[in-house]
Amino acid sequence: MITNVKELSKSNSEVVKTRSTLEILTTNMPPNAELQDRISQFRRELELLGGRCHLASGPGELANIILEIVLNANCKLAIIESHIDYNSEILSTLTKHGINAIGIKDPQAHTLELLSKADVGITHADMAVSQTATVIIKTATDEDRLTSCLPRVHIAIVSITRLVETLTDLTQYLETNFQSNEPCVISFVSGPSRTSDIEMKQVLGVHGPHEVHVILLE
Amino acid sequence: MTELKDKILEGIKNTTQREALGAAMRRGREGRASALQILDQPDKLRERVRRTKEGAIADLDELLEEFTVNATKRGATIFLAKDGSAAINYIAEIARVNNAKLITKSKSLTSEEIEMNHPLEAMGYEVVETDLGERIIQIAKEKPIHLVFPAAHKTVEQIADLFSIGQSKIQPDHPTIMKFVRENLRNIFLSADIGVTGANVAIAETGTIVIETNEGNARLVSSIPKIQVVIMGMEKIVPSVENAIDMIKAHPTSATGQQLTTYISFISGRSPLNDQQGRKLYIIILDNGRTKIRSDLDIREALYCIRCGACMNICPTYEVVGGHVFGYIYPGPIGIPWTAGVHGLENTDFAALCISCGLCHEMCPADIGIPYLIAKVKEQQNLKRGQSFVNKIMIRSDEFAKIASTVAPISNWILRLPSFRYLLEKTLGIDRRRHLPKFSRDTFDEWWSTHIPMVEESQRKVAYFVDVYANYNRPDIGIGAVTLLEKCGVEVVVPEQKTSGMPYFSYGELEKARAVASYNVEHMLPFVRKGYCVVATEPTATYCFKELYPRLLMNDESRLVAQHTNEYLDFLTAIEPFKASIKKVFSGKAGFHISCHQRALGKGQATVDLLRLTGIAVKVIETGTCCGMGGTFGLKAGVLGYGLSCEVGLPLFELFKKWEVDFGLTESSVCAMQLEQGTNLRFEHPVALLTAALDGRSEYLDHLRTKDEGPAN
Repeated sequence: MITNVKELSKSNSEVVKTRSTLEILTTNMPPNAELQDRISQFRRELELLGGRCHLASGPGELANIILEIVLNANCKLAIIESHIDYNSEILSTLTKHGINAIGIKDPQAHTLELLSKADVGITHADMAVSQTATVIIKTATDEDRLTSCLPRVHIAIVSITRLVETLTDLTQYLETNFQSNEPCVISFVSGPSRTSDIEMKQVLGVHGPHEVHVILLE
Repeated sequence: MTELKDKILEGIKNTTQREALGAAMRRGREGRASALQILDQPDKLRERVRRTKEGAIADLDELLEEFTVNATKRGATIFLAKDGSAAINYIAEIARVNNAKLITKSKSLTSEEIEMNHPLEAMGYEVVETDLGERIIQIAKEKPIHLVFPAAHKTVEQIADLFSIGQSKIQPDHPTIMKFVRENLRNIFLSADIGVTGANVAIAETGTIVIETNEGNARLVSSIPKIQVVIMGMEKIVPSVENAIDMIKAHPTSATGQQLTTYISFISGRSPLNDQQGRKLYIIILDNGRTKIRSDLDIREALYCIRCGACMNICPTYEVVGGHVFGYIYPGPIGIPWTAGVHGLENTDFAALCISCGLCHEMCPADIGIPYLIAKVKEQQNLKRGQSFVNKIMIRSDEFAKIASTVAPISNWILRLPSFRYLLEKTLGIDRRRHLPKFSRDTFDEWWSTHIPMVEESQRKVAYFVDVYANYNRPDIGIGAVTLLEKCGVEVVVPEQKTSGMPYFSYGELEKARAVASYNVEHMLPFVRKGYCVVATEPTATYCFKELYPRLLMNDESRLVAQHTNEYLDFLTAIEPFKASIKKVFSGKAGFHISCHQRALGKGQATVDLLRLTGIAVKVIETGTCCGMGGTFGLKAGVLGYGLSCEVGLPLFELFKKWEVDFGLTESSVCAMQLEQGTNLRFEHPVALLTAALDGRSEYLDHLRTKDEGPAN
């Protein structure tokens, strides 16, 4: 009986704690239910397109998810684009497991040759759109852009706070990013590359990645 | 024309191509339909796309200037090419200066338009198409058969053979071919000196080029080579980022049924790569006849085309013969005005393949009145080389109907004589194989002249448009139509009128079409102003009032009449007491065919629901395109007429047979002609059936259950 009371009070305090966390979150984010809907929509749409969606609660889990994808892909060389968060965590986790992982800015490397040999490309994404399972990647250099083009597996990491519902929700982002006159490319990526040019039969994986993983980072 | 007829025959016989192309088009149609269902308010998007294109083409000079300024700020070099050779020379000069050898290309219809590969190859450059479909036709030395699916006509075996040229045999299966293409092109991507891409959209306010690609090849072509050349038609520029977002939504939904193309690249200036020196971006903006199209307000809307290919996915004759026959370089319906505009009228013989079903307009995501643009091309052809004899006859078909009716039933007897039909074919060009409808000595006009109106001063008022068939062939339909309305308490008038004038439009006699339109509108107008609704029992007539007359006349009067024009049965269905008065007197199964002109008005379902009240199980039977008759097209002798019309109709005939219906129903008199002959079933107009139902004549169905007897031998 006593234990039960204790447990009850413990779980109560947890509920309170969760609520307060939620309240903090909701000031910057849409209500939890709405976000959950958006996540499931994103996941559903991406799977329909032949991609995979993962959720990571923090840097540790992020690195582990990437490791798992990389191992499953039988990857010999992974390239990491220059603008991703937790770069060092990812690099060290992969290296620790014997994966040859190199940052794209590594001065030792001949970029194109490296990219053409890489099995996995890991990039950031600025935004994600749940309705179309799209990730939006802004790049200032073409080596960064090619990280999501040449390798047969593409992993994109995007903060869950940047997941919006529709393309229309991107207008502000796009307007801000087009303001400067510096050359840049904004790429919308929705699933693996594909063609239906032979007898209208869809085949995944043409000149772009065959496998696309999007990791939503909480 | 002889050459065109030979090509049509070849197309008809090429069953492999027809099957492959047919499957591609069906998928295109179905994909589009399901994509539109997902899309939030597709009609609103269509309106926005239309408005964006209208505005952008109107302000093209300013937008070109704005785009040039902004793209230049980002380091791009802009070149305005007045025609194809100017564009090709410019690219050749870039290649020469940069000592280039290998040029990779991603898919660009604009580069197909100017046929840039051969001249560049002749200068010694290696030009490689990297889009799979384009690569296939490059090796096959063909032109694209379809805007979106350039190699839709090739089978997997044919493609494997093409890729096996000059090396060991490749197995004809998708994974093997894909692996080969990927490995084969990878080195080419990596060692290219120049990458040539098209542009799906260009944004004036930012100087950005937008490129859509599913395979990912355009991303490689636009990033790896030192030099990127964009070749785009000047009509691709839109003012803002917001407009561009609408365009990238509209393209894939109509083209492939995707919500978004897999990759969309917004390229603003040339990004650095590996600190490489001399990376450049050249943007060639092509005119090649566009300024001329733009300056003619009557055909300007051709420039609103977003190159989705939806119009060719629905085009009935294109489906049979394919884009190599139904096209010059730009294939399909929109290919007709585009060919006239950029490749010259002398290359538009294939316009004769358009049978004016109007479905392309219905499909167009930019709401382009493609049928009108095609009629304009036919008009220009007529002005240049005169109308063909057989078309002159077809245009006057209503006069023949009048004569045949005057001398009926002798005319019916003569029209069934093989010897007379032979003569008719040789002299007038009416195919002897075509079963013609019977003519009636009594006409609707005669009946109406002695008819005492049953209803006066009602709230519901109708101005009835009769047209040919309900007058000279089946006056009982016209009489039934008036009687049903009067039973419902509707006041009916039959104003002075000519026939609909559709054949004038179909054969590019636009001045005559305008005269008829103007006459009909003028005589309906006073009634419309007094609150009458114009109704017709012939869907083509309704289509003329609602769609064609306003386009032909471009005035407020025709628009007002159009607003107050309705399909006969839609009008009737809206009268609740009428529906309640229909009793289940029939039993059996009927197949319903919605005519193209009815479909263009988005109608048909109300009629089906109404007919079901009579006890008949009515099933809509559709292939998704047309029955093939195309008004008078299917009357014409030979392959460019009866022959092609039957080929188009074949899948629909098969469906009717498959569903084992007792008889058919359709509102269109010409579709009925085609379907009776193709299916051996009787086809009836819904008004005749409803009249019999209200009279309780259950035996009426008996004669419909007898097979079509055809002409006597």
